[in-house]
Amino acid sequence: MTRSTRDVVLAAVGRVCADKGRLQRPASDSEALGDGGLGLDSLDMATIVAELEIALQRDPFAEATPRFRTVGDLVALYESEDER
Amino acid sequence: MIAAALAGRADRHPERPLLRSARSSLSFGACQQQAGRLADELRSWAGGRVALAGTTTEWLLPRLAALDALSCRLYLPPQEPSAALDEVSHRHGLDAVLAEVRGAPVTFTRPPVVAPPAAGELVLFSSGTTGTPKAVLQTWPRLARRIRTGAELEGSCWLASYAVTTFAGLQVLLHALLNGATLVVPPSDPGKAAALAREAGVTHVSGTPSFYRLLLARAADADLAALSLRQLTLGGEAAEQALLDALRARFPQARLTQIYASTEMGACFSVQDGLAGFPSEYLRGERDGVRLRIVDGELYVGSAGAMKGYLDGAPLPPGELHPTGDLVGERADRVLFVGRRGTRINVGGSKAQPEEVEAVVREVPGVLAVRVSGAASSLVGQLVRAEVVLDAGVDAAEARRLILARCRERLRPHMVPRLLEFVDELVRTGSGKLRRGRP
Repeated sequence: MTRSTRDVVLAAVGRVCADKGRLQRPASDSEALGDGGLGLDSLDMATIVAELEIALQRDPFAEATPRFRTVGDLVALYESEDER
Repeated sequence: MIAAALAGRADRHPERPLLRSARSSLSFGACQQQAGRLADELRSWAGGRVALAGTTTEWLLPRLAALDALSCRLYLPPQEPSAALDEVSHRHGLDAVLAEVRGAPVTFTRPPVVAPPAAGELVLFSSGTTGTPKAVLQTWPRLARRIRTGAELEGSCWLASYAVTTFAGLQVLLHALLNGATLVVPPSDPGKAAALAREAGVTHVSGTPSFYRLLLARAADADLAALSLRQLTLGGEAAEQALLDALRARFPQARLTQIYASTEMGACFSVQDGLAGFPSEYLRGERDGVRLRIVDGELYVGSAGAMKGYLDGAPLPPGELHPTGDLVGERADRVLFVGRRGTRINVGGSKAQPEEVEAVVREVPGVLAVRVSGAASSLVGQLVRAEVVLDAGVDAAEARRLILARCRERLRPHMVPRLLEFVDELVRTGSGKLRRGRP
């Protein structure tokens, strides 16, 4: 069974958090990625995007600078590319 | 030079082995006979511009001698991509190509695009570690400038890990021919090289740090212990202190020589004290026709053994200082190699040098080899990527945890590898260096 885009995105977020020694549980959609939430910095975000480009063969940041704040925003960005 | 040296030695000791590999053996006499027959067959090529391309040393050696005997202007293109060979034929208007993979000789009737080399000159190609190999105009006397001969080298036996058509490979070949020594060509897996070296009675080993790391890690302990080596020569890449210490501990009786040389600048200097880098005093004055200077963090060399120039570039005046691409730093009267220019990774404006990250990753138990490079990132320009080869049986998840922990402890945050891949092996160039710049 192929994993959904949502699962792949959440797995990438989870791995980067685990590498930093944070978050031992699945992230919820409403959680902020940065300050006040998972505490991910710009390098962490770049890592997630690079891993997702390998896993999903796409990069929503390649030609645009979409805004996102929460885990749910990030999932939605990749899911919206699904529909194209 | 090759032809004359081979003929002289074949007269003196025809039965002595010139070449040994896992597959075959070739004596000085047999090689000379083959070269003679080939020179007869290829008579019409005399004085022409000829590219010789192959991977097998026993195929290359007699042909190298035959073409040299015919006073051909030799082009020795990199062995791997055949596209590079076509590029060479197009740009340089070769008269002929003798290529191992193509079998039959190919001749061309195309006017040259660039000026051909003169008698006594040959065209070598830079190792292309970080990009396309460059055609370099060298001369035989400059190549032989620092070749040592002497009673202690007579009949010695050399494990030569370099492709014979590279600058380093030709240096080892000239050493062998001028000293009547035997060349032992190791199998592509350095781990299996020790068994062959033991059987052949190797006395001298020449290779890159990448080669030695694999040799130490993969060879059987009994084979390494049975080697009675007189000299270990390292070149082509910077050697870290940990590797030098490991070689010293493993082969305490052998002389440990680090050679600084390049296709462009020739053999420049060597260091025998077993310490990484070289003494700062080398930066003053001139030693054996070689001047070393640091300009803006990069090592510049002026050498009597330097190339005459890139084949399609301006000539390099003899002795003129030339940038080497090697970034260096000085610490306590020692010049240390930091990395190569052009391989620096730019992570959101912060710079990371791959070699610095590799040195830290290599300290982690279970890591056999590592290559660090930049991966494109739409958010921060580049991220640090590490490809890692693990020892057999090492758990990847545990290795990942250890590598990241060590890097976080020792490196600034932007230098910590963000993309970590475990691979079976890393690609090395014909001269045995880790290939960089083209993942």
